[in-house]
Amino acid sequence: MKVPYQWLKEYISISQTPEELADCLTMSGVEVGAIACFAPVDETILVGQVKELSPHPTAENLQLVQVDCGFQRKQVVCGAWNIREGDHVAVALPGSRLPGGQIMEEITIKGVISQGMILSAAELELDLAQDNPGVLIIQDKCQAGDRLSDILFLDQPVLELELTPNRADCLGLFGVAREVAAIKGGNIMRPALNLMEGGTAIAASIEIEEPSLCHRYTAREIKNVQVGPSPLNVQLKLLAAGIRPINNIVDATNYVMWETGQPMHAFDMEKIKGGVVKVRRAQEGERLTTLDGIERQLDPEVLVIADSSESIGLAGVMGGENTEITADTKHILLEAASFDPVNVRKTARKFNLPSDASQRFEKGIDREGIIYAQDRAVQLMQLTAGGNVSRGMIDLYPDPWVPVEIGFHAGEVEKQLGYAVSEGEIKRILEKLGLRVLNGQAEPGIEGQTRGKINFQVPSFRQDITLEVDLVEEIARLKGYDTIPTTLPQGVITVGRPSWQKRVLSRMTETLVSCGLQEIITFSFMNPRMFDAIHLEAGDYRRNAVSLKNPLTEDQEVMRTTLLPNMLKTLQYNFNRQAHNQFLFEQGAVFFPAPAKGDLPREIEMLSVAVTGNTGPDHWQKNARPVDFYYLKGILEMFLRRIGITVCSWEPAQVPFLHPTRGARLLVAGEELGLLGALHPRLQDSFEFRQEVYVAEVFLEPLYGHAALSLPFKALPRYPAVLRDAAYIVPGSVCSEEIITTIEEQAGEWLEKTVLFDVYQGQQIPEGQISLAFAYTFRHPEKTLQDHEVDQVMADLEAVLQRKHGAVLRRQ
Amino acid sequence: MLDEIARVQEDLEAEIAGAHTQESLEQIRIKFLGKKGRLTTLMRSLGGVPAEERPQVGQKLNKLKKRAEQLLAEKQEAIKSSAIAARWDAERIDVTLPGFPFAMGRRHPLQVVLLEIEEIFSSMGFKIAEGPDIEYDYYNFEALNIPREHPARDMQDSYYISSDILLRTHTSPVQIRTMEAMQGELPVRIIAPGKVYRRDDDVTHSPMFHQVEGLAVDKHISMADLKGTLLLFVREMFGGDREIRLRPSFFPFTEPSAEVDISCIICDGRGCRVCSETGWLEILGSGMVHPRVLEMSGYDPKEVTGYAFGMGVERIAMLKYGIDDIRLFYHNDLRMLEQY
Repeated sequence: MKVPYQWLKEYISISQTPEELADCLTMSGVEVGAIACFAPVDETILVGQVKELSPHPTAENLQLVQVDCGFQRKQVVCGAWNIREGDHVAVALPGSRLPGGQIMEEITIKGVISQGMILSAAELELDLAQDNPGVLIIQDKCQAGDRLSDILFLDQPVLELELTPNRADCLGLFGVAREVAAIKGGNIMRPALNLMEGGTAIAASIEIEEPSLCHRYTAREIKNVQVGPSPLNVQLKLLAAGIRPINNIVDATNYVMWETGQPMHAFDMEKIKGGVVKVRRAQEGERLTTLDGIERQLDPEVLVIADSSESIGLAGVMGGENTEITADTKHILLEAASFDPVNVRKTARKFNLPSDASQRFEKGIDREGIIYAQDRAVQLMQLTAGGNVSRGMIDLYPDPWVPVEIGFHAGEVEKQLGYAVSEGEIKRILEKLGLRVLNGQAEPGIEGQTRGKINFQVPSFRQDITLEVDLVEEIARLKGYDTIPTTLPQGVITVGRPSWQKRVLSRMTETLVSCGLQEIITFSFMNPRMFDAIHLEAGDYRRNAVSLKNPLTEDQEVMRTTLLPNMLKTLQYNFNRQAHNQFLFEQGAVFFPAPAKGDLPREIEMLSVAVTGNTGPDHWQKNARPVDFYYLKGILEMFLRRIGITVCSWEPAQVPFLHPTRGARLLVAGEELGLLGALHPRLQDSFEFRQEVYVAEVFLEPLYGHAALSLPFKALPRYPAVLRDAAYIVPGSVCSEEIITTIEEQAGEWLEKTVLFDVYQGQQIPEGQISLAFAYTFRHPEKTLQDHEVDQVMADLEAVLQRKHGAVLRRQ
Repeated sequence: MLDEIARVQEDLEAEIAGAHTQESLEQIRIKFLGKKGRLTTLMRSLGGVPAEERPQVGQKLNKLKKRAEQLLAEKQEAIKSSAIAARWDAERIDVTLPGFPFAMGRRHPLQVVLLEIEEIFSSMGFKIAEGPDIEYDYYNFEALNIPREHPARDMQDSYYISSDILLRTHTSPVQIRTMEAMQGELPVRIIAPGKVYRRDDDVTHSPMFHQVEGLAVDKHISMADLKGTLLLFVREMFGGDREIRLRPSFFPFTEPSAEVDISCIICDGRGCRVCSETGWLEILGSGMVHPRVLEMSGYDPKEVTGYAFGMGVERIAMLKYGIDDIRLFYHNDLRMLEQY
């Protein structure tokens, strides 16, 4: 809502500067987002009075104009013919800068010196109604030599209100003036009405067929109007408010809408068939071409204004082209109504037609203010377009305004705000806002617990006030929020410690960070084409994603079911920016459709990790090496160990996006919770990665149950350990984890620790075989183990390994 | 005899001075003090010295022996320490060479800010509550006093999954879920951090962003308590000399409602480009829980009151770090992430 400062001052006297006013309004809840300058023009552009007109000696299409510019008379060569002697015009003298940037110079036009230029509205960059021919003629009271800017208020500040949806009352200048009066005192000056009605009674008839969608509908007729441009000052005010002037009829409706907040619409009465106006639902398949020239397909959800044969306007949104006011219009039917906010909102959204009018209807119209607005607009039309106003107004009011009454306890202020305000002050504040005290005296309180109750009646223009607490807010904002004291909540102590899940999660992320991983955060939605890009099979569960109904781009079409696509995109983004070593992780939800219709989709916390490049940056000690599968596996092992998960294992896995023989699944207590592996080379190619990438995904939520953040203390060993090494040659098809499992199960209770310290394949051993070397730590809790005891264990173990896995002890 | 003593002394001193290794020093010791050493030999021949000269000669010999031992010890010490010095010299490294390049991991800057917010409120006794990203229209709007077709829905353009399920547009639904779960129990003190979604994408809007919601409900909670809590938070977060300012505003689920500004962290309130010369920066929305919201969540607005607030984490991170484009948080450009 744009509030031209000079226009506002017609309704309330303001002593503050625009900046002070803006600050007051903002601090009491009507936020002024910005203060703009209406139409700044060079201050050297002056008002000139035309003194003498004479023909140009050689050019037929030009004339010489003697202009009084106050301190001097100038001769200007001019091509416009709408000037008469005595007119006031806008003159740019040599040295003046036009709004377009051009600097005026004295020039010779066809042999005659022109000492300046008489300006048109276009040259002043004022978007006036289009049938303003020639130069700008100033109708306001002014004198030659006045600054143009001062006369036309071109440099007036325009306050741009950023209204919250509840303050529909401030969508009109009267409402803003009322607010200013409530804050700073003063009375609002609403223009008086003195309408002159003619002898003929209003002829049109109105029928509301859908009273549930139309609270009130009023109409007046004016006959024999002269449609033309509005007076300059009206056009300029509208321009300052951001409205394009059209003609004196349409401008009057907009002018009054800006004053009162009441949208209005004028129909060309001769185009209304049957002289009947109906407020009805559109019929299925009905069409209407609106004022913007677009044909709209209607349906019964849409409330229309119609004549006896067809619709002539979308109620509250936009009029129809078939009844548009044109230069030839003679008779006007003027509508001022209140429509159902929800219906207007739906229609405006359906046709994507948000307008100043629909915006006001959506927020609720002051039904009691309609009559004033109707008469005010008709009066303005009469002034600017002439014509005869038919006698009487049609006023159908199926849903009259029921005044809201609120019983208010003064104690409520202290309860909500933490400080008390006296009853007298409460009344003073609320009365300034237009509320009426119904009972003069406060009723006695119940056992002194609450103070008295005051009954207030809320004015019809404040539909946002319905509850006691709404009055508390009015009191608070007018007293100023800065008067609210600063205290802290009292009462029992509460524990704010993070939950178990949060603590496990933070241990997890701490571990990943300490392994050198950088956290990333990516969007929860993704492009479903990524499912193909990562080669998911047709029936893969990850393809069953939750779709968004109204994504902005295809990258927002579905909620992610895997963190991998966004991870790959992040890698790609950073590869393209020359980051070759990337160690990334993301922790976030993935989403799967609800098991039952109507339920919320399932959200599961997940972790994704990707590593690529060298283990560290280049260093003079040359200790960096390329990361590989085992580097990432080590990170995940560390991560699991740090949250106390021991019951986990890995097994080879075939996954569409992983290298077919370098992929593994993570099993925790037998449940598959994650994947780890080298990115499949075909993905590496399609994403144009020039180096190997290792990725992992782990479901986090099931881990919380297995996690342990602290373990019981184990007594320190009192006897020395016996250390033994042994290497076994096993068939290449055997997985090391099987061997280790056998060792741990079969070596007996003295085995404390097994470390696989060497894996060898090559000339020293038969082809197709592999050598695994282990370092064992044996220890007895109550004595020092003897060599022969350990020898026996080693021999037994060797036999078991041979039997189960065909392992042969490797002799040096 | 005395001449001989003087010669031995002279030779001894010269040889010790010329010795540079432990081995040569040992040779000297043997040469002079060994069983057949020159000094030992002299001492053995003391018996042949006339009796009247014997005390004088004997004294001289003893003195020389002591001197020899002392010189040898001193020299030994000297040789030892120069050997150590030589070793240190040989083992010298360039301590200015760069150290081992441990890979440094980091949290995302938004997480850093989120964790800080959580820590501050946790320490004030606020429990962390969470709710789903995909939410029922009821929790996201209706229970927050935003019925269907309410113009306030225009303030937040939503992503819909179905007619009554959407991506939550704010963390406020967690208020309702928490109160429902607590079934009237008091006091309620929670914050709810999380991801939220709005159909918007430009320099200052991201289709997904983060919020932290706060809620306190009890028998005597007032707007003054809200002010006090937020002042405490702001001073922990932005520094002890920050001031806050509450401005009336509108949210359907609070009444009275307030926008909260902090004195500009760039210019200290004097006015600068960041605060548009106002000296204030808007950082969060807040208010007293609307009675209808309390009622719908199972609390009696006649008995209890509550305050609620909600802040944008990106906004706070942008202010704290001086970042001017919200989309940077989601590019995950390592050159940016590595700054935090």
